Amino acid sequence: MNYWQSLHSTIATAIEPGRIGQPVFLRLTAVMECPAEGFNSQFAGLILLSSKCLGTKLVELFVSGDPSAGHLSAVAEFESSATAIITLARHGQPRIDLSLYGNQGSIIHSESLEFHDCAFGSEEEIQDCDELVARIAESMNENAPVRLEGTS
Amino acid sequence: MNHPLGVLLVAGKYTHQENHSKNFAADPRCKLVALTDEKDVDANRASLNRAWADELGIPHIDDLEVALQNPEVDAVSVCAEPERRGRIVIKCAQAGKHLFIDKPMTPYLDVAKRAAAAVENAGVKSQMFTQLYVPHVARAREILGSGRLGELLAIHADCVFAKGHSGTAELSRSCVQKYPPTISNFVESKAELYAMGVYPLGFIQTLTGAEFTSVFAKTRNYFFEEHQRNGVEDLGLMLLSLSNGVTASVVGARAGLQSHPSGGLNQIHILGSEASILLSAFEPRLTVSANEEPWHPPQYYRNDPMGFWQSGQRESNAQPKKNWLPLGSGEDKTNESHFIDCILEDRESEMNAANAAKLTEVLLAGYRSAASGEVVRLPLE
Repeated sequence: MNYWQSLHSTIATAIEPGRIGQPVFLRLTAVMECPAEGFNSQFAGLILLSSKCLGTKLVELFVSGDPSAGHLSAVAEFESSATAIITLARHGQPRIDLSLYGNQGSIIHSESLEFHDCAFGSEEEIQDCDELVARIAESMNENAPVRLEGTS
Repeated sequence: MNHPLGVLLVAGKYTHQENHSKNFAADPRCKLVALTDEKDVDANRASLNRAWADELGIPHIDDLEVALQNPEVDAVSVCAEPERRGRIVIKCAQAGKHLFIDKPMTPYLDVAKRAAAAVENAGVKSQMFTQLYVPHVARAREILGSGRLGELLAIHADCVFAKGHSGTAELSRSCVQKYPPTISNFVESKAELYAMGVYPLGFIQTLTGAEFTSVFAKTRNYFFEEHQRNGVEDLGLMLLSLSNGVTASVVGARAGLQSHPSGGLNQIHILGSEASILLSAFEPRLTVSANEEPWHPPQYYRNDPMGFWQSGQRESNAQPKKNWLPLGSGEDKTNESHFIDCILEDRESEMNAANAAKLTEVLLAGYRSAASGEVVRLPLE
């Protein structure tokens, strides 16, 4: 289990018994020296991780930023109506900052990391997210939100 | 000016005047002259105004027009409800008074522009209440100024208050945003993108010195039945572009008393070309664990269930959370004292009426985006 799988698993142990109620909003910011090539794919992996943390499918995405400069941010909406702002940046001490609000509580986590690990999802998950990578590019190119169906 | 600055208060109890009036009173360079309001305010507002004038031991004058004629009045602190605030600002500026304005200045773009013009034409100083002087924003300014992050790429800021009894909304009914939005201070709810989002927008406006050029926003979620009933969002988020190429995002929300170990998420994430940094209102801090009664939320208090006002919190016996103790900073000057500095030193506030008007425009663009589902470009047509 890598760090991100462990993070998701631990978040799930707090959400599944209903401690924070139904997830409503997520702010997730990761600073991680992902390779410049494939930055959009890594960002897609982070979005998939967000979807897993919220326990719901992604239905809409609006992306802004500059992958060549090393930063992307997205506003995401999910099937449950939960929303999120997800950011990936390349430059700086690796860290994760996560604020996940349920309707009855929250999970807040900030951590400086001593490693660079951009495997936000499993190999299979990342390989399966070609459509999401394409939609990230589409949103940036058109400067408009894009609808997605069935991206879990 | 060789006499104490005379400050007239507009609106009293159950407004932010509770805070502002006490901070003005604590500054030896000024004195409170009276408390007033528009002549036709409803009986409840008039009663709350009289109560606050009595609390402060100052005269209550029931007609703003009359109060503005008092030559002892140099400045006015305006905390009337959002719908009335902008027109009062215009009237006071036209009377030649300096203006301290509760946030945001007004929900109406035409009023915002006229207020900014009235202030400029009158040559008076103005300042909208802001969190620009809180320690983590001051640190952000220093760090950006030092250049150690390299070129600024993105800035993400959040203000999420841990107040109110959450978990009461029916989550199967999402917020359907209307445009123009409902902006009103209900007893039990406010539009939080407007009321809270203005703080981080102000950080970004000031820290970058750039213009906002586009916004994409969402106001889909509810924590509180009260907000749902009144059709106002309790969480709003915006992804913005700026004229200098910087990307920004903002979260403004109220998420429940037990949603945070302290007062609520209040942070700025700055991403640069060389390094990145997260600055929080609660960092650095001590964490204190002690053999004492654990914190517990106050009972539901119908006069102020969301803990908007200091007196409401006092009346409901709300206790602060004490486990986190942020380290003090050198800066303890209040917003009100910064405003007095601007008057006495004849300089503009960073959050003057003109900049406050720009924030009104960005907030309205956010609501238009949330209603339409589209990116909205600025300036608004």
